[in-house]
Amino acid sequence: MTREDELIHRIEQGDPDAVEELVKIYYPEILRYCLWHAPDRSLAEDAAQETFFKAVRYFNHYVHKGKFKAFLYQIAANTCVDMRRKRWLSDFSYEELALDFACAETGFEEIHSNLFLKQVVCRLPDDLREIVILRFGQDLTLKEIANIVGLPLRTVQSRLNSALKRLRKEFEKGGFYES
Amino acid sequence: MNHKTFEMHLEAALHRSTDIPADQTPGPDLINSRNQGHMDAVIWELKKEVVKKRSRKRIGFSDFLLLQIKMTGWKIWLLQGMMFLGFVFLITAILGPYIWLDHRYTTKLLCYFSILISMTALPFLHRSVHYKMQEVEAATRFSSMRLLLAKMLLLGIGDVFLLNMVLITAALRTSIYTGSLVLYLLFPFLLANGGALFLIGHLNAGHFLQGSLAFYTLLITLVTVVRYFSPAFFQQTLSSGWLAACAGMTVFCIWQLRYIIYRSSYSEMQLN
Repeated sequence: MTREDELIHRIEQGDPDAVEELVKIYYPEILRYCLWHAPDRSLAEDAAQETFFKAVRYFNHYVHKGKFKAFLYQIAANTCVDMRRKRWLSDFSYEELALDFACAETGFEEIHSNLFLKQVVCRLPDDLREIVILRFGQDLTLKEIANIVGLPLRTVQSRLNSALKRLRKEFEKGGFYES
Repeated sequence: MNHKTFEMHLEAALHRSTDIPADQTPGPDLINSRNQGHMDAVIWELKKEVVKKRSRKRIGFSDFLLLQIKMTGWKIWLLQGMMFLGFVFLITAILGPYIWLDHRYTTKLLCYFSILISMTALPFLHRSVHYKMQEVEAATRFSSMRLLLAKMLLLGIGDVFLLNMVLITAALRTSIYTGSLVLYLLFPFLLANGGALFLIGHLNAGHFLQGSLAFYTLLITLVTVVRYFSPAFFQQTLSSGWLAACAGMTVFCIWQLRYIIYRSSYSEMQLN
């Protein structure tokens, strides 16, 4: 039994300390994921909080087969979409988000090529961008990504390859040939 | 630039997008003080939620059903019975009192009855679908769809009782083969219920009543049309073909019920 299995079993029994441990494991990556989808940090924090609340509220619906991470990410993805529809700015743009991160979070210390790469990622179609963020921003495996987005592994692989091809092309067009 | 290098570059660029380290090792030292503060607040609220969830009185589905039978089940059944009697008087008023004595019309009447019996559930289903039983949901912590299913179960018990009463009455008063009586009660009933379940699962709450009324009207019209243009249809027996048709309709009803439950879970968690 893994540590996660044990924690989930304890949460099923209503142990609040197990919830604390599970949040500590997943909070950083869920917040990071929400930061990609929210116009600002405080809304990303709201989305992350709502994600964990929903996970606890609908815990009875989750049948543990070692896919708790996928369960959590699915909730996070849908929470971000829902919040964007209800509360966030209607003209929310991923491109501005990339710039905001560069300017606000790094104090203009961002390497030019990194900024350019982020902007290009933000210009990808939604389905490709999501896979790139999950793979390279959240360090998930392709199998985990397939579980989260609900697509076959081959489709995820093919979309990732397509996204990487596009990104590389744009990157090289931008004049970056770093080896 | 080779693929591997580009991917490393991309990973580094995306990780620098946020000030949250990508390292998966748990521990407060790996996130900054602002994140730590928010995480602590989330943990605090979640712990309260878990304790609240644990301490709330849980009602099992069967206990809830028994409670519902005592509180509202008898009202539902009484109203179903009254609606059914209303239909009987309406048919007598339209077709005359001798319709009940003329055995040529028995199988046709059974078809109408089975559709009308299915229709008696409509006012109760409309109320549940429309208002989603939020107050009961809060008290029992069942999803609104599971509450709807409990109500459908109660209505189903009422339907089965009415169907059996009609079957027994027809069997005692006519010399028609029992298999035929069962066929002309069961198949239209399953058809009507399958359609109603499909509409519950696929129609939004605002259109459910109109959609269901339209569907039932269509069914009754269909029976009437068949009655005039293909009267041989009403001289069938419960053959293996008809049994297979009934089995198929039963499977369809179960499939729609599962869809309603499935949709319930996913729509509440917003999982697509």
